[in-house]
Amino acid sequence: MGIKAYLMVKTKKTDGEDNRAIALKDLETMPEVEAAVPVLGEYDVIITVDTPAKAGLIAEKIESKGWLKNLRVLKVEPVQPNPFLDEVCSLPGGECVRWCMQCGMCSASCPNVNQMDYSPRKLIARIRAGRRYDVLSSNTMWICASCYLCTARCPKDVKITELMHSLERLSAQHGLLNKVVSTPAMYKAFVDSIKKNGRVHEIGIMMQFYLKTNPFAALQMLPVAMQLMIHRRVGIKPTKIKGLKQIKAILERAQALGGT
Amino acid sequence: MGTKAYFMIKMAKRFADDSHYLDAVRELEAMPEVEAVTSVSGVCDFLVKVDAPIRTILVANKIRSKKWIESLRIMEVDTETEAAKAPEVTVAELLKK
Repeated sequence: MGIKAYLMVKTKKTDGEDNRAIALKDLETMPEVEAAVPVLGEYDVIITVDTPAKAGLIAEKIESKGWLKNLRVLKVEPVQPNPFLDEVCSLPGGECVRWCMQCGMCSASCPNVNQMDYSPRKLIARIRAGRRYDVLSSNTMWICASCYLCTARCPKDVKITELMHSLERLSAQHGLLNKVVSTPAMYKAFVDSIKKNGRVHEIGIMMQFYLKTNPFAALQMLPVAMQLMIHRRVGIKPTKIKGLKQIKAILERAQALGGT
Repeated sequence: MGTKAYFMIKMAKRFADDSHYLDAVRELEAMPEVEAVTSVSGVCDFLVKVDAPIRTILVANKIRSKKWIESLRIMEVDTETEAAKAPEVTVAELLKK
């Protein structure tokens, strides 16, 4: 259960001596008190309580104590939640977003950061600020090369690569795919080839990809394709595997679990 | 030296409508130094828990620069007292077990 109230306690000073230690010991014995944090400033102790009813009960109890000078109750008010942050946190790898301390190690490590709309650090900051459109329509997650350098170097163990893959799926689900990047078309061509043949058919993938993105770019790649075919590195005809039904079943299951 | 503190923040009245309030919460939540933001009713509008590897005053100034702030009161966590308290709690827990 979350915290429902804070009690701010100021203790009396008797003969120049601080009563805070006595107050803290007293508060520890109270079963209703969730936590008592000693602080320096306008108040001496901050008490956290998990139910509002208990806050009143503790306030009454504390008011009877001799060491009390001043007591203030701060009742926690529910604010409209950040639905986008909650949505991202429910995704695999997304729960780590709250742990990020914005040190920028991920952005400094990323080899593709100069191609991204927002660096990984900025992307996480935008998720926490609830900027759904900014995040899902950016190219950051599509540019990610999944090298795992950010994940390996993160001091808070934030799984940034997993988060990027989750954001790719979320972006596709919301129809906010970035118009400039061609990575989604490549993914689609790859999965289609696997669905059809059970394995990658290189020529087929590249034809589908270039037809969807930029057919003229295919002409530039034609000499390379010819060389590969001459040396029998790629085949013109697709070859199918034996257990094609099983592969299809796996892909259908993945789609049912939220894949796009 | 790091900062562990609670900030009691009061919002300026002219910004105290719903949309500004939510924007203020988001602004605070987006700050890397801020560990938790709790909106409260009472002597202040927000109780902000700060945990950062920089000095308290720098974080406070950063928050004070926001236009919707009316007042900010700082309460630094007394880490010495808290550290002295910690072993007793552990012993009490062990005894319970």
